[in-house]
Amino acid sequence: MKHSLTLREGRRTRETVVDAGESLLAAMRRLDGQEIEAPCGGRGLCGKCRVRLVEGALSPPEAAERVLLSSAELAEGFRLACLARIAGDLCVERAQYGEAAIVESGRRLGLVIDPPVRSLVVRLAPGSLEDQGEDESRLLAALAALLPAELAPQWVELPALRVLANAARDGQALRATVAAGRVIGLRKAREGERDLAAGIDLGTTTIVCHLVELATGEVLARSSQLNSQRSFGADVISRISAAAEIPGGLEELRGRVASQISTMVALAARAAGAQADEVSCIAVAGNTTMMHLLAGVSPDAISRSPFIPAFLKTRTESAMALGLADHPLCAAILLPGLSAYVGADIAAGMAAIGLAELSGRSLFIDLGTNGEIAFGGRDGILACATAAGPAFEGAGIEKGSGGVGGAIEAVWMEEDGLRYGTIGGVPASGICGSGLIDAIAVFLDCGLVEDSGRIVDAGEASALGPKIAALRGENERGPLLHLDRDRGIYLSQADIRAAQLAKAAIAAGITTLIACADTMLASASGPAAGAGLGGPASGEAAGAANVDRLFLAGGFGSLLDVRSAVRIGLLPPSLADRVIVAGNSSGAGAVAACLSRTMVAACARACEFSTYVELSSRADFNGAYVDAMMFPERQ
Amino acid sequence: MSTLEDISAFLQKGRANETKAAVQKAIEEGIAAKDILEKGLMAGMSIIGDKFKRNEVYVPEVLIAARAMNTGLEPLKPLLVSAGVKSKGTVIIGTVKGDLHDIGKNLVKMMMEGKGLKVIDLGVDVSSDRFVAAAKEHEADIIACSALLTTTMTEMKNVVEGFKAAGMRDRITIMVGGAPITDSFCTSIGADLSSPDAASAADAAVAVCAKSA
Ligand code: B12
Repeated sequence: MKHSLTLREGRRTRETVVDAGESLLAAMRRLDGQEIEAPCGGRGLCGKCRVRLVEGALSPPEAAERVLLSSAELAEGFRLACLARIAGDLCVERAQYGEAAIVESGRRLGLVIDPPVRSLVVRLAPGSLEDQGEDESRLLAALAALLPAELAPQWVELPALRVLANAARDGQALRATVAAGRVIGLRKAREGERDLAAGIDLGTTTIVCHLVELATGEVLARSSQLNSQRSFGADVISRISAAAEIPGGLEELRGRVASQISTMVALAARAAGAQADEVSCIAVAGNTTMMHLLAGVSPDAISRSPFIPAFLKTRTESAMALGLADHPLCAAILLPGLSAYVGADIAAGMAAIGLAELSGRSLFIDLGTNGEIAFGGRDGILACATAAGPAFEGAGIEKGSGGVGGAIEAVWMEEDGLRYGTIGGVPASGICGSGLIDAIAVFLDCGLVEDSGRIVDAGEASALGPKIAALRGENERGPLLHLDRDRGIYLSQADIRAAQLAKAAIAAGITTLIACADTMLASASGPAAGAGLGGPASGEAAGAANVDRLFLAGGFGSLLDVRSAVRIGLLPPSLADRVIVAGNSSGAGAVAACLSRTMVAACARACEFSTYVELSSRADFNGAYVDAMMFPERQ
Repeated sequence: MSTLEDISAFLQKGRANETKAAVQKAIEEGIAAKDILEKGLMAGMSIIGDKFKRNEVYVPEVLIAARAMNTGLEPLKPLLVSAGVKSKGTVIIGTVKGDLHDIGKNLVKMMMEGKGLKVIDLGVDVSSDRFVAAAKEHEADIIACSALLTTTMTEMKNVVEGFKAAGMRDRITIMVGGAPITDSFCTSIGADLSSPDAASAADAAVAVCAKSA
């Protein structure tokens, strides 16, 4: 039976037709516009897809909803969209999301412009009875005349060929893209057009698009959006499950992200006063799962041991064939990855900061859900994925939120009490990763949280003085620490445990890679022998003192307060003054790849030059992980 | 404080050597091996377990307490054998095929041992066939499967099917757990029990064995 669903967000309402018995989440996914968040992939585990039933009928609340929603919330009509099923016409309401504050700019790169995709204008002789050669050879010869021998194309791809058959007849000027020895795309040329390219950072959470002018290397426009696959789960494994388990799932996920990128590029071009078909190259850097989903190649085998991806190497394709553009000119470069869990985003980031060229030893950390870490330099690079989980992106934290307007991003203590700041300066609605880390650091310093992670009991708290004791509270699930009592924002004991699991994964990854380096990397300029041996001292990765620099990549890395990160034992203290915030380094790498063949090669080299360390088969990782769960002692 | 209370207190603090010394003292005092085990070591582990359930202590404290328990058991083991103290039941535990996460599984194992169960650990990446073979070999009461990935949790259904195919399903209790596992998932694949944490898992396992004994 069909029913109608009305969704209210602030002043906006949208409507759709739904089936009785259908899950509310599935129905909401069909409404375009602001995506609904479902970090756990709609399994009733995280409670983030909550909506309020304004009127109408849903199935009765499930057991899991009674756990994640308080009885007061249930009485007010709050439900989890993933578990609630349509039982009649209905209207639901959802809090409006703030604008996402996504880090867009990478570091500026000094590059010699030598694009991997060349866009050239040619005019073909129409052919005659004396010259009956086919258009294909005519086109190849005309392009060869314009290019250095090593770039001359040998082959015309099908999308270009289809345009060629018609266009060659009327003697018009044609614009062709040449890359990797092939003619990738073709269309009729226009007067006064520009040659643009787009570098895409394809994140599991966010997609960032940089539009550049190929002639100058200037970035003309930037935009970012939350990944439209989000309602299928926050992490790559949930997306892989969705692709495998939902009928047509792979195609659905592919189509969503391809058309999202296509729209983002078109909008960026428009913002720069150009047309979408002036973009001749789109270079994409994403994690290995995202690259598979974009290519429409099943990532299923990535998700379980022995974690085998279908492809990792650089691919040059027609953007139209991939669904990344709706015009036949554009070429797409899918940048190379290193392994199932150290992907093209990390390779592009390593290339952007030039990790493989640096002397001494550097750490490169992407503080996202997969927690990739690379360590090394000129002598070789080791890389691993620590699977930290999405706690620092707000998932699995009761009052957690992504880096959106209203999220508490910084917390500190002043004489008269606890202070915080929110993204956009608007009233607080939740707490994001940098705020979570600050808050724990503050609570550790004032004694409300012990080194073990336990929130002290009421008696112990009162010994800390009335102002501090007032921050401690309790609900039916146990003790909690208030950040804003009036707005109901607090950290629970379970939240602190979740943060311990996540920060320990990164810290143990650092310790393990540094220890591996002593045996796995040539020791030319490495740390003194033996420095990396022995167990980690409280929170300090052994051998960290010999690390020359620490690059922090990813959106969250840029907002993070390094002192707080050290205080909670996420980063080793000796590296606090050696931190370089690398920003969106994978976006920077993707932009650089559009501009320079050397950078595309550098991405591939970063992969070949790196050794992947599989942490699951290492007993020392487990030991370091459990040790790192504790917080460092108060100084 | 009595020596048994000392054992429990040292164990809770994770003090392995002191726990062992206190066990030795209790032996010298002539306390029965079974009482030292149950009212000393297991009593301490049980308090740790309850605190873990409430999130008051966490993984590191449980691990060091479990280490103290094992150290404390050393002098006691020969006495338990000669006194004919039997385990309360046998559990086969493992992380399912395709999954290599084992920290949670190891905690479950320790908590179960702390409750007096015999636990055979098959490690990680364990196929349905291996669970079945081990259950036969050790005449197990319970199979405990762990999975941390939403893609490998479906492997638990294969374990249930494996026991059906071997004609052993009605003789064995299948427990499932790990971060993505819910009660409704447990029911949907035809497993018997799931618990959210290691301490509840051990309590549930003891209850199962007590019923079948
Ligand atoms: C540590 C860790 C790792 C370590 C594993 C070390 C090891 N030997 O176990 C390493 C780094 C190797 C790793 C690797 C991977 N991981 Co990992 N990992 C984690 C992490 C950070 C913590 C897991 C953990 O140990 N928790 C602590 C224990 C104590 O809790 P627990 O396992 O849930 O167990 C408790 C209960 O569940 C219960 N229980 C457990 N088992 C059983 C069994 C029974 C019968 C019962 C009753 C109860 C029970 O009792 C336990 C104690 O109370 C989580 C993220 C997070 N922050 O939680 C990701 C996480 C589990 N990993 C994940 C992924 C994807 C991976 C990888 C596949 C890819 C990667 N690198 O990102 C790889 C490869 C996996 C593999 N090799 O099998 C994802 C899974 C996502 C999903 N939707 O399924 C997570 C959630 C991170 C994320 N969001 O991306 N990982």
